[in-house]
Amino acid sequence: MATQKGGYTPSLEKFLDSLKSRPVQASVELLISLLKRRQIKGSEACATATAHILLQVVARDKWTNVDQLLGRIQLVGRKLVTAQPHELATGNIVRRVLGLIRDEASEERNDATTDSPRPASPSPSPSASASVPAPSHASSPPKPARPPTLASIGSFARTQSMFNLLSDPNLFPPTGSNASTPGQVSGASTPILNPQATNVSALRSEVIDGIQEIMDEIKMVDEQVQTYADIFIHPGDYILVYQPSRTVQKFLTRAALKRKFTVFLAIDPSSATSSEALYASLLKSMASNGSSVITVLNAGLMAYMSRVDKVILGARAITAQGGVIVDSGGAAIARAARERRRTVIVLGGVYKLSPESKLLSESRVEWGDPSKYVSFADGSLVSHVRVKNAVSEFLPADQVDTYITNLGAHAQENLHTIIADHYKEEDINFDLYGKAQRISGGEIE
Amino acid sequence: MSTATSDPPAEAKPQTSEKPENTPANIAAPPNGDSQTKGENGAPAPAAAPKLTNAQLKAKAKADKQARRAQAKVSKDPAPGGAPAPVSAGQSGHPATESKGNKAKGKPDGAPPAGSGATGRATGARGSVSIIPPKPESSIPECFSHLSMAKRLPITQADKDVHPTVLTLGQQMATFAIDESITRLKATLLAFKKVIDSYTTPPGNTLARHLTPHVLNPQIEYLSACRPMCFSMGNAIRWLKLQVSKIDPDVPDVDAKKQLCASIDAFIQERINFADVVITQKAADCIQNDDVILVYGRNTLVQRTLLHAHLVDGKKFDVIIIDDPYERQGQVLAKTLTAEGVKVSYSGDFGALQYQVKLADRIILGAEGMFSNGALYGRCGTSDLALAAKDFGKQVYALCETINITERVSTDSLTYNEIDPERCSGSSFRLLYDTTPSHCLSTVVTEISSAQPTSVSYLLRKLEDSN
Amino acid sequence: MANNDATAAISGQLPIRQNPDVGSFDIVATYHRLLADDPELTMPMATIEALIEALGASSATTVFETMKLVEAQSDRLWQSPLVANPMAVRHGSDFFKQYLVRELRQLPSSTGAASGSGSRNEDQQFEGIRQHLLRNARLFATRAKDAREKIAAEGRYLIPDKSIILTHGGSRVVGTLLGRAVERVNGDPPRRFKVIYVISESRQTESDKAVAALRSKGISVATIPEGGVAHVMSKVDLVFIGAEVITAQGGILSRLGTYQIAKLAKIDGKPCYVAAEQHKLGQTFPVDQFSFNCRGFQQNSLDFSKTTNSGSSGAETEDEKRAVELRSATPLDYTPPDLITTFICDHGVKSTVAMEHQVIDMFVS
Repeated sequence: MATQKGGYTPSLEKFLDSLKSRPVQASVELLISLLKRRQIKGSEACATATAHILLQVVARDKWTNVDQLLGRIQLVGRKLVTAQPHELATGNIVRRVLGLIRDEASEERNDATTDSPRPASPSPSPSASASVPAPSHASSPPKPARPPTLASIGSFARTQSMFNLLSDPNLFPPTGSNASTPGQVSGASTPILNPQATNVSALRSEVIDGIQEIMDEIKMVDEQVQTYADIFIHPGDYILVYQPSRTVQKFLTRAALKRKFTVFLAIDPSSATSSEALYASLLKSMASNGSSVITVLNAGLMAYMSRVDKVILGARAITAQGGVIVDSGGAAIARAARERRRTVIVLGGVYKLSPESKLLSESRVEWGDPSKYVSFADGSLVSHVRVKNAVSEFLPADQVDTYITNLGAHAQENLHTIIADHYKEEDINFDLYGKAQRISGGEIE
Repeated sequence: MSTATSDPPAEAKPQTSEKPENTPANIAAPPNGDSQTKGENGAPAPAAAPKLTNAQLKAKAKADKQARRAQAKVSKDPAPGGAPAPVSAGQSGHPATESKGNKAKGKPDGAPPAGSGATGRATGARGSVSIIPPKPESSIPECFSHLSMAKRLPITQADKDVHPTVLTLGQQMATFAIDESITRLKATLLAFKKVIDSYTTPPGNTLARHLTPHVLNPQIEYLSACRPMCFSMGNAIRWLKLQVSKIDPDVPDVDAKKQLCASIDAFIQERINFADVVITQKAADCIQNDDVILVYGRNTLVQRTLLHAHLVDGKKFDVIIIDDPYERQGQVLAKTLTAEGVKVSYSGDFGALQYQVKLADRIILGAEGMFSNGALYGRCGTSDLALAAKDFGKQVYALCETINITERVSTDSLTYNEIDPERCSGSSFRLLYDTTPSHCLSTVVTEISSAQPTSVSYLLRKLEDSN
Repeated sequence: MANNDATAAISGQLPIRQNPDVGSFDIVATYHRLLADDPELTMPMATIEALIEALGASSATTVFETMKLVEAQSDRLWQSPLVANPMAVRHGSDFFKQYLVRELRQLPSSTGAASGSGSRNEDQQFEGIRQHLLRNARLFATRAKDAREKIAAEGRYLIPDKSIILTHGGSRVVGTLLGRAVERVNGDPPRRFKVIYVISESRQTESDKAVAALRSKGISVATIPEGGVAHVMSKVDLVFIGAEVITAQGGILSRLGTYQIAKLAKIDGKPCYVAAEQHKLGQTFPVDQFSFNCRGFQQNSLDFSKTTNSGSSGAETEDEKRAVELRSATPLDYTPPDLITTFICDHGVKSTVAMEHQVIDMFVS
């Protein structure tokens, strides 16, 4: 997970190549097993794979109306998520595609029936945001095609659901009774999806465009995040990074173009011997620009904190409250930084921002191969000692100072608004983590 | 210490003003035997007038001390079981040297050797850095260039006066074959016994004046060149030099050497062996049935504590070992414990540290040293562990022999530290120790008392007072 | 500001009757009757119900009249000395007023489109809204109660396996949450946990009832006095508390003792979750424990006295005295947002900041 130079990991690449030649359902099953066996892992790979498979579903599955499509995406999405619940990015992409479909559908409908009684689906469409990579996206104007009604103002949309308490049951389906129902397909802000009014093929191509924009967004993350590098890294800084992801490496590389600073590179201890090769390009470009990299061979990094100015961590996922899933060991580092009041910066694309709140911090520890440090040949250890090896863990929000995404730097307090911009409430509430068989019976409750 | 309290300050002054060039050594000047140093060295230095009265006061103080110590020992004796006999031997050894010291003190030149000894130590330690570094300095990052590093000195480079046993020891230290502070201390003292044993005072010299500068100092310099001395070594060497300086010039070499070796034996017995027994017992008492104990890597004292609680006290508890992935010494501990039937869970790195700490009831840490501000000098990573433990309100015990307590103060991990010579090549770098702030520790268990970490400097004073 | 704009526009159009007739309707009595009839009703919700009843009892037909009526009746209610928690009432009435304003602004004619008959048309459409409110009053109450179920559905995921939960007070939301958590829901297995319940001596019966309810669900409950919270905190994994009012900065006003528990949880680093419906949100902005920024609200928390018979509360009039007495009998404290880990709301698990932003969204647009 530390680095995948250039394109994708082989298994992801192979999977993407095979998509077209395989029936959609077979591809879904293949991806599920790849996720389960961790052959596709890491948030970027999982997000990319998910976007691709959902695109296949949209493009090649048979569906005749929006509700069908939403149901289909939810079904596939839930299977993918349950296959590997630790990869929150999978669920993020599923939810974004769901939101995208709702947006496109309501646009279609608005175009068809201009005098619809109530403006629906008001939040800025994710596709709009995806296509505008600039950090100013949040304030980007609504598409001109849609008349800028009151309802398209973000805050109005956000509070709309609040007033559902008093809403007319004949106009709005009261969220009170079914918003959290797993099988629900049409939510409060997308009333009366009229299948007849929807032009399936137009919708299909719109949604496909939208998914492609999401894919582009994922690809562009590193490039956009690194534009903030020299804002946050100052001359003479000592920056501590831990098992830097490609995003973090590029961030440092970019900063080195303008600044001379020192990087403490804490690596995965099991790769100590190969670290030179692993981070070759980082080491090279840092050195050629006069900045230095010191590979730190310590697990406890509190010792260095009096010298460190900033800690930069790559996120595997970021929650709405600002908690971060990081490579295991990252939490101890952030804690040490907090003790010395050092700045902790988390990097990650917006697609890693997860609206999921149903996971406990404990369950967010992902355990992995116990043989990382203990040889299987060591009988007395293997047979008598319970060996544990964490792969990822949860970093509480109070130990992070700022988050830099492709949209810019954010305070923890504002993450939830970014989430509100990218996900629809009914999709957030949709329980992707439920047992997959639960929805096979359709709508329950 | 009613009498002594009035004494030392007056004596301390002349001492410091006497040799200002030694200040670094003085500041660093540690605990044990320090009041003695002051007492013996300070008194003779000033003009002859106050000498007598001082000497008389001293004598009285000594007598008081002896009486009190004897009492203290008696009250301590029943507890440690096997230890008492040798300890009381040490006890009788001490007063003997002390009374000798009182006589030796009469000589005005009693001070210089001890003083130069301290200087020697300081320059020795520094020398090892300034002489050796030129080559390795290139690989030590600038921001850590103030820290010292062990170095394999070719035996041919060593001073010709270095004793073969010390030569071997130096190599063992440089290669970390002997690593823990207390083990290094013990090995050093035993080696010095051999050095003393093979020593003969050259004609026209006295042992008290000759041994330290011409024989001990080269050994010390060599050892610190091989690897920077730990606090306990500094403390003990200062004590040893004092003992040497107190040898009566009229005593024949054979007796003087016998006397010195006996002192060393007693010192080892009291400050190391006996201390470890007491600490082990006290720490094991802190473990309760059904506890989950979290430890870091492998520390001899911690291991002994766990085994004691399990085998001797018959307690049932689980152990979580968090290891330093670059050392993996915790695996040795894991095997030792499981062989005895302790349930062990092992994590090779700091992943999910918070989660692990949450599972634990208490954390037991071994200390390489304690600073007088209550900070713990321990294996790098110790502070991260203690921090997590503090976050979850877990009890953190630090085990530390008083000989490891230094009067120095450290507020971060880069004031005192060592660079791992094995992992300081090119751009890679590793620190061996870190400093855990006192607020992350709950209790320091020493052989004389358990205390709040911030009270260790007070313990130190008590110790000085009672010596 | 939205509020002002809308009412200004309306009053500009319709300078008719200033005081709509509500006959013998007594909003304070109605409010108390509603609360007594339905113990499940929250205070803001009872306020909304009472205001709807006021609408029904009045002869007001125009937008302007209706707004005036609601304004007057809600003022009367929260200023009444008989109301224990005027902040909760204000949140309920503000919510209701805001709803009306929003509905008005969404009427096609109010967007400024050319609709010849202007305000008349608007009034007619507004009548529709009025009818909807009168017709569905009970539905709203049901929805508000459903909110608890949704909170329970969200909150169960915050309970780690084999955990110990500390709670206090008779919060119905927390009660529902814990009760549901030991059930199997949608295939999600029952949560395993024990409860430490902090018994309030001054509300012994309420505490006993809450404990009995939990135990009847098969939950193991230990009880401790309020003085024992710090003592047991090290054994606690998380704290659940309820709230009467969610303040504008994302804090809460709740039963006296809540602040203390939240503070002790914070010191020991235990998560403190507030389970509360979003209709408890409002613009109350307390600055400290002794000024909740609600005019006329006073509770006699500190009664310095040299005699055992305490006397004067500093209140001037009879009404004020009654109010202070009433409020001192059911005292509240303020728990600031930094002591709250997150809110468990009917619309999800929300940070305190998200709640604050929601208040801003609600009243500023």
